[in-house]
Amino acid sequence: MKTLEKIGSKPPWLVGKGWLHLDHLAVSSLPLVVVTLSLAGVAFAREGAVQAKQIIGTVEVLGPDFMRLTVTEMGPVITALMLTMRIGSGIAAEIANLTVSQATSAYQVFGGKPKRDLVLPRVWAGIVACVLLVPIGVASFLFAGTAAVFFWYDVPAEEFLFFRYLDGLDLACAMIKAVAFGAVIPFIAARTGLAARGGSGAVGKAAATAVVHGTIAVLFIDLLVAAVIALLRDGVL
Amino acid sequence: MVNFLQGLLMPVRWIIPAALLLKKVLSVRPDFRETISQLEHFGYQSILIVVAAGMAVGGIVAVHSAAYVANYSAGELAGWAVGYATLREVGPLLTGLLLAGRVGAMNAAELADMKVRGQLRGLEALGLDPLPIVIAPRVYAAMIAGISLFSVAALASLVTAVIGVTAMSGLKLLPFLFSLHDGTHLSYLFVGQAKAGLFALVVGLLSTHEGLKAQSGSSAVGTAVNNAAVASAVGIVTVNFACTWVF
Repeated sequence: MKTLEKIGSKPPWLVGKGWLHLDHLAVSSLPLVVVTLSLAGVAFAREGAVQAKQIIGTVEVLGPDFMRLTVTEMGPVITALMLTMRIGSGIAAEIANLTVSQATSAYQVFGGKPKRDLVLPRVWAGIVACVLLVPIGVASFLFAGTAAVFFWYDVPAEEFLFFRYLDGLDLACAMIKAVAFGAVIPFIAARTGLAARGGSGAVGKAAATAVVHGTIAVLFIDLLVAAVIALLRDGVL
Repeated sequence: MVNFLQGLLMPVRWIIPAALLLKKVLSVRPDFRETISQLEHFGYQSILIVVAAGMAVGGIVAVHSAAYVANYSAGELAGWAVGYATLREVGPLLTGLLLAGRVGAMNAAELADMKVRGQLRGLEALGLDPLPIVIAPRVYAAMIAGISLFSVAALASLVTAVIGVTAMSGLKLLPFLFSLHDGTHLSYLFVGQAKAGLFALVVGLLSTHEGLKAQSGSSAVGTAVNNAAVASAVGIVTVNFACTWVF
C-alpha cells in the first residue's frame, strides 16, 4: 500500500508511456491466451456434457450455465493466470535485473523516480492488455467448448449458446475482474522486482515470487468480485 | 503473424524436450538426501500458500454452487457440484496453475542460477554427474510435492466450500454433508490425484528443462523463470485437455 501511495498519489500518471509496453504485454500474450483457453474450453465443456448426460440425460441444458460460468469465471480467471505466468514473471525479472545491476539507483541519481516511472506505465498497459485479452479468452473458451459439444454430442451452437441468459451483471463481473487483474498483476510483479537484492539468484527469486503472489491475488480478487456480484444479484447490497 | 502461428504450436514445442529429459531422469537413481531436501523445499514450505489458494478456490466454488441452489432449488445436487468441482475439475486445474508458479518457477530460478554461476560445470569438473545429484532429485521432488500439495489444497477447498455453501444457501450442514457423501464418487478423488500427479510431472520436467537452458547473466535467469512459468502453465492446460479422453 505504501508503494501505491508513493507512486500513484500525484501526477504525472504516465498513462501515455503505458502504450510502449502494450505490445509486449498484450500482443505477445495473444497466442498463449488463445491456445490455453481453447484447450481448457474443450476440456470443461466435454466434462460438463458427460456429467449432464449422466445426471439429467441431456446436454443442451448445460448451455446457459456453461456460457455464464465462462463469461464470469473461467474465461477471466484462466486468462489472468496465464498473464500472471507470462507478464508477471517477465516484468518482475526485467525490473529485478535493473535493480540488481544498480540501473535503478543510477536512474534515481539523475532525478528519475524508478517506483513511479517503472511501475505506473506497466500497470496502465496491464489494465488495457487484460481488458483486451479477457474477451478474446472468453470467446476462445466459448467457441472451443461449443465446437466440442457439437463434435461429440451433435448439439448445434444455436441450441447450446443462448446469449439472452447473460445479463449486465455478468458482463460487468467479467470487466471488473479484467480491470482488477490487469492492475494487480503488473503492480505485484513490479513491486517484487524493485525489492530484489543480490545477484542473478535474486532475479530468479523475484520472478518466481511474482508468479506466486500474482496467482494468489488473482484467486482472492476473483472470489471477492464473485461474492459481491452474488450479493448484488440477491439484492443484499 | 509468424509469431502468432509459432505461439499456437506451443504445446507441441515442449513435448520432445520433456520426453527426452524424462528418459534421462528415469535412467538414473536420484540422490536420496537431495530428493528429501528438495521435497522439504518445494513441498513443506509451500503448504501455507497452497492452503490459501485452496481456500480461495473453495470460496469461488461455494459462491457459484450457492447461486445454483438458489436459482434452481437444486439442494440435493449441491453436494455433487461441490465435490466434483473441487476434487476433479476446477480444483486440480487452479491448484496446478499455482504449483506451476510456486514449484516450477522456483525450480527453474534455482537451476538457472546454478547454471549461470557455473556450479553445474563445477560438479562435472570434479567428475560428478549433475543428473543424479541435482537434476533427477528435483524432478522427483517436484512430482511428489505436487501430489501431496494437491491433497492439502483439495482438503482446504472442500472444507471452505462446505462452510461457504451452507452459510450462503441456507442448506443445513448435516443434509449437505450427506449430499456431498452421496454425490461424490471416490473416483473424483483418484482422478484429481492422477491429474495432480501428471501436472506435477509436467511442471518438474519443463521447469528443469528451462532452467538448464539458461546461458549467462542475471537476465538469463529471469528469462528462464519466465519461460518455465509459461511452459508449465501451457503443459498443465494441455495435460488437462488430454485427461478428458483418458479419465
